[in-house]
Amino acid sequence: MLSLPHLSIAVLLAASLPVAQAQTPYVPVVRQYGDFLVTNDRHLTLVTLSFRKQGYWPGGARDVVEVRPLAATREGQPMLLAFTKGFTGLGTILIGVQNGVPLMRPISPLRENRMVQTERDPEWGVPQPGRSDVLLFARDARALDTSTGDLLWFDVPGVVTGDYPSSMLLSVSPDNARGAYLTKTQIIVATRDEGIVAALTLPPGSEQRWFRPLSDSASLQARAAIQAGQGRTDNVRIERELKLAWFGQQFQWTQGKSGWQVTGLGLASTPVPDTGVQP
Amino acid sequence: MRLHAIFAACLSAALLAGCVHGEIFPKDYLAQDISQQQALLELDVVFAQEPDYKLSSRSSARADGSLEYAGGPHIVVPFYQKGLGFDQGFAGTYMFAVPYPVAKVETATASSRVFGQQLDQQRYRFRVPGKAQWNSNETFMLSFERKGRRDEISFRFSLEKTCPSSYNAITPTYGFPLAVKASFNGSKGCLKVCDGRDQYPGFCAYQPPAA
Repeated sequence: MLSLPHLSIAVLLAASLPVAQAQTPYVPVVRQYGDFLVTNDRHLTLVTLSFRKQGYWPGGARDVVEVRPLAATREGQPMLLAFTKGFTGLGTILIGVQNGVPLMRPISPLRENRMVQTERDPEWGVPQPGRSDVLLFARDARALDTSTGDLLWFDVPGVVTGDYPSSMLLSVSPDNARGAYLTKTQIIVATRDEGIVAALTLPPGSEQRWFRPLSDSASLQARAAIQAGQGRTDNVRIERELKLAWFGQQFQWTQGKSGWQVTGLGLASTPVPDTGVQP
Repeated sequence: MRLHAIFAACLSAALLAGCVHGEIFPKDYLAQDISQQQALLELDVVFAQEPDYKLSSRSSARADGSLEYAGGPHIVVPFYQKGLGFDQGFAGTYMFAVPYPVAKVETATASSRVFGQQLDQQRYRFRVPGKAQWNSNETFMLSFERKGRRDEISFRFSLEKTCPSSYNAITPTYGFPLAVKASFNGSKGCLKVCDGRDQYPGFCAYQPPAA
């Protein structure tokens, strides 16, 4: 835009001003995680990533909001949890190095029709009660073990993701091999590859006894947040997190003779006969 | 008359760049239908857990009577072409419309799908084809399903560089482990995993310069 003479005048002016000389040159905030560099420039709410001095936009996402390093490593490089937004955004992603190349894995995608809400309140996962190194992403039926970097999911048929899944992820067993899911009437235990192995039928009246109060409390919290103009306003998400906390309070994993089982409310999950059968 | 003018313009331009038109639907092949000499590279994949395989075919909508396959692990290979394309310009008013062609340089795209040859339940062989008069994007995307869960992993290759092209990888969405081994016709060749994007077979987010 500026022609050459204009530019040189501007440069001369800037050089002659004492203020400009007194200022130290601006250095953006750079954080280093192994060979990853995360740069946060002034005036920008976004960060840029580079790996081994080469720019990197994970999965083509241009707008990376925040990057958090994990304890887990791949090829000596720390794994990163990142949140990306915008038109090219992929939501919450996991970055790990594979064969010398950083690779992105989607964990919790942005919600198509509620982009603004997800961007304002990014999904960073809920620490599992009693095992804070495991992050639960119940809406996406994923769990992330931040100490090993394993992104866990379990072999449950039907709809497990979204706001109204037929079975919702509740917890991961201590050996990461099994996951507990909540259906309408049952808590089911599923393995990583062989389908459902055990089930616990919730006592009758559980809906009234446990879930209705959680739902009401979530609605109240959301309403209060809307009125206050701050905080989480998504009641479905609050309810989901309350259910995770409820499971943490009422149930635990115990090692039985047929692997890890869920016990609580005076009940225990029992192996189902049709192990591994897909409907 | 207008059509003739386009052809004439194209014909003259063809000497310089050639006319381009993209292809919307991919053309399907079976890996065993592509000869090893024609292929840019051959890819052997060992899936740690066997993928769904129920290959079916039906005649495609294309005029050449080719077949369309479904139900097996396959690779999607994108191609591109730069050349002269035409836009429709418009002059005149509502009653007196004068459409006219506007020539411009365009990039056209096409893609091929190659369905893998099943060697056993876990081992599949793919061949990455070239396409006459098209440039290879030097990427492809391996797509497969296991128990109905679809996952895609992209790769980038080069026939000029050399690098270790046999390694283990895991897919992005479900983390299915697989072992890949690429073999090239010439002495040189390099295959790398791509930081891909779902549904974009030609995309690699991380592309360090050639070593």
